[in-house]
Amino acid sequence: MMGWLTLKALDAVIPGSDRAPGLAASGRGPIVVAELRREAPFEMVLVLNLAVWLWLLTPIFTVFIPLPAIMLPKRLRYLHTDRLTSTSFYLVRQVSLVLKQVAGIAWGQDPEVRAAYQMAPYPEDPGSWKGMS
Amino acid sequence: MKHQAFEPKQHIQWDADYVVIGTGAGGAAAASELARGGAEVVMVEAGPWRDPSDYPASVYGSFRDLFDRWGTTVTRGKAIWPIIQGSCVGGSTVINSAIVVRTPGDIFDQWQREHGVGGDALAQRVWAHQDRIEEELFVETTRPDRLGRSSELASAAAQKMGIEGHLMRRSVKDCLGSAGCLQGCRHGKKQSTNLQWVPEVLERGGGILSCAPVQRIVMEGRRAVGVEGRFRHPRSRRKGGRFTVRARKGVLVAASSTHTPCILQRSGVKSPALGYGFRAHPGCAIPGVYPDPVGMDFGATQGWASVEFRNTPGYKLETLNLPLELAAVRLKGGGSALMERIEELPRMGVWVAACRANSSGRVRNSFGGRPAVDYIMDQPDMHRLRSGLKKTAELHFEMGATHVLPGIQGLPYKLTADELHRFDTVSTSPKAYTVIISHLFGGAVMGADPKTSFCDGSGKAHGYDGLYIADAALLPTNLGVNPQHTIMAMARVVAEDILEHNS
Repeated sequence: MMGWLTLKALDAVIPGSDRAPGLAASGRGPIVVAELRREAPFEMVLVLNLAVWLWLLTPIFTVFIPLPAIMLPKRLRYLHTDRLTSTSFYLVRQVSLVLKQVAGIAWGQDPEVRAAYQMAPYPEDPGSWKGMS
Repeated sequence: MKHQAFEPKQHIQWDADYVVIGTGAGGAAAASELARGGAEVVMVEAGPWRDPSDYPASVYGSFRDLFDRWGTTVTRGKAIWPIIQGSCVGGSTVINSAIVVRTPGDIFDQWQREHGVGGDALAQRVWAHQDRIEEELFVETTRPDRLGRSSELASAAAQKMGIEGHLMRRSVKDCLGSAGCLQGCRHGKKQSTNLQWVPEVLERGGGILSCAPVQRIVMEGRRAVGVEGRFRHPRSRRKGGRFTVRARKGVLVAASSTHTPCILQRSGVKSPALGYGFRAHPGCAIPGVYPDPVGMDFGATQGWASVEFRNTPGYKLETLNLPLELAAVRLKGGGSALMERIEELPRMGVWVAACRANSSGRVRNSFGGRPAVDYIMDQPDMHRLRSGLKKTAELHFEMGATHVLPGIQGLPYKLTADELHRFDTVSTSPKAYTVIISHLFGGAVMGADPKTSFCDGSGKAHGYDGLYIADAALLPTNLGVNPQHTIMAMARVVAEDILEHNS
């Protein structure tokens, strides 16, 4: 449930454009979210979860509609996401920055996205180290 | 030559003449100096040992594999600012831009005047070490054909405006200009300490424990006699077996300005100065948007800088090729509006103003042994930062940028040349700025007075035997220039004094 919600929120941050696919279309999102929830430090996962709930429950304050963000039509969902992540309330902005960071690093490693910006695809991250057993 | 990585169960027990905690700029420099002097040295590193073939390609991988706790350490105070540090064999030398700047002479005068250590004698020793370090690490000026367009633009802008500027000198051998310093340089061109000095220490009979965060320094009375902790798996973070390293002659702490004070505090070491004097060069990036493509995916990650304003008002300027992922995050907002803003990315050049901040903070242990950094930039420093950002924007406009993206709360998303004056009146609240802290100083500073400093000018802890500081934690002021070269040379001075004292 939390993983699904996180993906929805991340996709709303970077939904794609004519030039490049968004997170949902790229297929990188589910992989990154699963790995991050498994391996990232506790405080990072905690703030990410907080950011997702914030995104879900605050459309009433941003687009003035008393619905959770996932129930908004696309245009309003994106407008809500834009207003939330650029709000003048400092703590809200900082918490939602984590959402942007995760969305950005997941999206930017997708080969299709990199190709859209004339960048070579990343090779696989080896994740290895000396003495690894 | 011995290397022990993560050990799930066994209690590993080693002994050596010296134990060095940390393998970054300070730790590896000190360890190699001690090993050259004939001492048996064991290095203990919290992170894993990765070669260039192990380095991640993506920024995500970099956060996961090379950064300290995925980059989640932040300052606490009026604003939450991320503190960027490496956590692997090589420390931050693996993830930084390998910039080499000799310690300015005025720094030694300032240390002498304000802290009773330094002066011309120390300056001569540091510069002599820096001569040697530059040879060892193949330091070269960034080649013009590896500069990248962003740095070319900045260099030309400074020339047009009559501002001092220079191509970066870096410890990079035959740079390919792949703009991948943040990911550790998979091409193996960057001469980080895991490729240079750490292997040398092992060749000279030393050893290293990796994936081995030190829990505490073992003290016998007021003498440091070793370190102990438990291995930590690099991916799952699960704890493994215990390790203990006994030090016959001394323990050198070089775990960074955030971790060094925390390890000392956890070990019961007492000093009124411990944890205080934390300083930094808080930096803010300003992207300029140009009519033609700039392309941040080619060129030295940081190829150009200016230190003309280092003393007055107190900031430095430099270029920074940001990976696509991080550049996208730097832009305002989200949703389809963010996608429209991302369209400008290929035409962006990102330049940075880093403040030579006088503000100082405090480091102490927090939950789970993590460092808590209390740090607030005061108003004079915030004004310095703001004026640096305005100058950065001026440079962009000088080269024909159509607009800049100040990223300051209270200013519009885009600012054109005729709106430059708006920098003069925008808020100087730390909360209004998107700041990153990457150059860290202090926390266990050197000085003549034990009431105001933790160690003496040779890095020896006041009132303790066999306990030394050999990293940025001993620097009592910031520098106004990139600190890696100073940290390395000061660590060499500390090691040299230890060898002389114990010979």
